[in-house]
Amino acid sequence: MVDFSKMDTMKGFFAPTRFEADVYDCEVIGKVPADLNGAFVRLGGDWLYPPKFDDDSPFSMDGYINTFRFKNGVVNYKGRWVKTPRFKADLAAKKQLFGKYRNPFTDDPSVHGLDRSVQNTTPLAFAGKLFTLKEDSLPYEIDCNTLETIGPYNFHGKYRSLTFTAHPKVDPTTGEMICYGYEAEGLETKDVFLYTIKKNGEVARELRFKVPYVSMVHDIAITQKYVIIPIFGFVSSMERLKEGKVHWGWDDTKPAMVAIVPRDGEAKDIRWFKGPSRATVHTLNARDEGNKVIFEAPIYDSNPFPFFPPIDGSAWDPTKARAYIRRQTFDLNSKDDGYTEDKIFERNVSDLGRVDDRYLTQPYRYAFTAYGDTQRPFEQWKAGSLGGRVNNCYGRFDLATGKMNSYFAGPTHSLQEVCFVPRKNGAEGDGYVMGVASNYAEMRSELIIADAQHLEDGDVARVILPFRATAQVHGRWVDESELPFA
Amino acid sequence: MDANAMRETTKFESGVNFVTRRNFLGLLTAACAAASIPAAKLLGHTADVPFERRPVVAFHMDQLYVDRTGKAVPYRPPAGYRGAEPLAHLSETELRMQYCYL
Repeated sequence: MVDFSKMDTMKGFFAPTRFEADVYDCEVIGKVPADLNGAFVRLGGDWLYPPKFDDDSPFSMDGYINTFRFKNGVVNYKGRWVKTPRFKADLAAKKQLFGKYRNPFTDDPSVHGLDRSVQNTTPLAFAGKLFTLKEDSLPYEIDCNTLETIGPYNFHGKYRSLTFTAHPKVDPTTGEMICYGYEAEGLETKDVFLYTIKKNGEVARELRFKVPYVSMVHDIAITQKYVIIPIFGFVSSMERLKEGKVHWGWDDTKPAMVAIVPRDGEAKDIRWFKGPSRATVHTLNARDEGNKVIFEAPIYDSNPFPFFPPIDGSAWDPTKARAYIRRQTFDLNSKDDGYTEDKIFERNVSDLGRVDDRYLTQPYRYAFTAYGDTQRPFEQWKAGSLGGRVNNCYGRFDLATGKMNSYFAGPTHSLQEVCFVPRKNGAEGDGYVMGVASNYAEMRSELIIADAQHLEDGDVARVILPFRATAQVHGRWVDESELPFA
Repeated sequence: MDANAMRETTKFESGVNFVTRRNFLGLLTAACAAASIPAAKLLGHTADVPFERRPVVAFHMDQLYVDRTGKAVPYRPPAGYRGAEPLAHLSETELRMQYCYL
């Protein structure tokens, strides 16, 4: 018996959807730009069965991949569960067999040794294949047309880490992918395996090194010379897992640490820098300036996730769970391990920010992300109240001038992660801002498409789904040249 | 009386007949047609005689509501589904336990 009634958070717009869907020739308000041919691929999670433990992390939700396929001005929608061994085992048992996030000690004994990954974080198109990514396991290959799950992928046996990041970076100048796995040799190991994979999918390079303490390594940034790897206050241990706790706890005494790893160097060449307690979960971009590395990201003051609670027993502090776009500068000529940090914008934002990916590793000007603007109207009598806790705007943040332009989704909407889609042969920032809005009044999801250079004008098209689509964590635009679309 | 509307009347085990919104509208339309009165007028959607008290007819939770004194305010459903409301009472910690990214 499936029963979500005891979960206070699984109600209204946020109730589980749990179905697979196809919508052909979706309803569109406005006009889909003719130059958009490809797919907006989203990956997120939904609970197939309720979690075994009330305090588990939402990162344990079963993966769900969905695409808005754009072709000649028509948009088709398709959504499918990512059918991992875990999903299949739960479905066969008709209940949740798996315990807390990245803690196999809390699983039902019947699933001991089974791949317990849920593929719910980031979609990736690379070397002509579509993958789902989850940082506790290998990528899963997905059929880009049917969205059916093919299975785990290890790059012809040459990718040897047991885990694969949710945020690899593709160097736009070479097409190479820089990727890594942490806890690479197994649970609670300090090992990081860093890879360079050619654009044809061939593993070109592997570098193995250890981090100072086992911590979340969720995202990185790259320059032409270096890989920037932040770690921060999330800690774990085998003892913690055996006590039945969720994988991560927050240790406020841990400094933020950043590894500057030469892309063609060895482990001995890595520089570690230390700074005040922060949480850099997602990054924007980085670049070389002489012997300095400039790194920008929406960085939290402290722990953003209450489901990874402080290890000292104190309460999670929501006032510190705010992200601001900051710049960190690492001077490789320095003799100490300090770095400088500047807050570039005073407005707190969603840390799910994006840039024009053609400018990764390069000097760039624009960052895009969602934020909540309480000065905008919100029609509670239609949408219900969330106490102002909505992201109703996408912003284009001009890092050169400090100015911001904004797109407002509507008075009953909240926006999920933004995606920037460049116009072919356009300059930086010339293209579209794309993302899914939750319409709490109409109980449906809407894919919005806005001209990135004219955000104040509103959307140019809005693709309407006649239902609530599963919430995404990350979405990516995939041009039709990148995958063998039918 | 409209025979189809009669068949749609729900009979519960208690023996009490409840009139559903659908079959009430069927009955009303049929009755109005017979008497040549616009149905909307009976439902209070027109107000050509402002101070005349007339029975208030409305629906709430799909149940018919009638106030024969004419003093009540008819229920009007909200314009939206208020999908966010079930989470309105949650503290920031409770909300973010499940939705770190809304």
